[in-house]
Amino acid sequence: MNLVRAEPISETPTDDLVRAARGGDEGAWRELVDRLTPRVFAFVRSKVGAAELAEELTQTTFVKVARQFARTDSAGYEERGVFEAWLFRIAINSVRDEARSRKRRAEVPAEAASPEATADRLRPDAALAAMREAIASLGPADREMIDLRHQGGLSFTQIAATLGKPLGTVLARHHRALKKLRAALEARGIDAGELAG
Amino acid sequence: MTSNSDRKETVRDVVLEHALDRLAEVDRAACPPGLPERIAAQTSISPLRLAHVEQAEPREKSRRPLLLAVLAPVAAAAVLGAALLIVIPSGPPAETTADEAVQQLAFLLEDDADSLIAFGDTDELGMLAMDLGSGHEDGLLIDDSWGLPDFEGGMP
Repeated sequence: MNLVRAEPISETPTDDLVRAARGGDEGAWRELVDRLTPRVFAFVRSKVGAAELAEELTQTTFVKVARQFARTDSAGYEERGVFEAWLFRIAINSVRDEARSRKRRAEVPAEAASPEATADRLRPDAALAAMREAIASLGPADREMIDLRHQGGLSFTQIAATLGKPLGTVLARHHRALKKLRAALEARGIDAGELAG
Repeated sequence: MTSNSDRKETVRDVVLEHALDRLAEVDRAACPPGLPERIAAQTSISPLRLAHVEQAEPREKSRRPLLLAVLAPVAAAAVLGAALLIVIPSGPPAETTADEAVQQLAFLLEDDADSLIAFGDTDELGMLAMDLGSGHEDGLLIDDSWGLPDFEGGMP
């Protein structure tokens, strides 16, 4: 399988890019978008399923960020070294807003992708497909923990900042989510070792 | 001292995390190649272009309905003797964003969730409960027995 890693485009630390972008550096902003879009997209898609909707919500997320960056009043983004946590918080809220909006329109909530719905979007790789199905069978809090850590690529400290929880709570929840996921895989007769290979 | 079973579990966690990272790589690779460029083209941090973006995007919503949604229940709670009553509009689209609602309600609630009476749509409250830090819907006492149709109908 040909995997394209979402590696940083340059070695410039994200916080430096954030600072430059807030100072009006369009190049830094473009680099931030390039660097973080695949992670936000993967995170959002794992929550909503449909690629088209995930694209739309990823765009919405960055539009909100750009708007906050451009503000100079106290309502704008405040630099506290937690940019990625803030970004994923916006992504989570964008997904929830969409779910609420769909619910009002009596559509299937975006955040409640069932295992069956997830199966519809599976790629041919059967092992990964089984993994997606197992993740989809978890509760929302466990799924969110796994999505933030792996699809979003956040550190535990960043997840703690995103969710507003103590680090210890996040570590315990992640451990618990892994345990449940392993059980879900085992219930499907799948060994995680095969998936990692 | 770490037991053998603890070590085995740690190893199994590492293997599973590796599998999850592999899945994440696949999903990031599935990001449409032109998406970052499209986003960069639609957004800008320069105030001049931002004005253009704001014309194309829905304008930020007024905070006034949210303030009403927060202050009116507080007043009602005082009358009813509850620590706090929250009404989550479940009818027409709320004039608030999730960000705004959570920030302002979290500020009001702080650690007072135990003495909270919440009224409204259960799903919305569940999401709100997670946002407020209780992590679970059962962190809130959800009471929808009073039969308020929605906030648009006004407080009792």
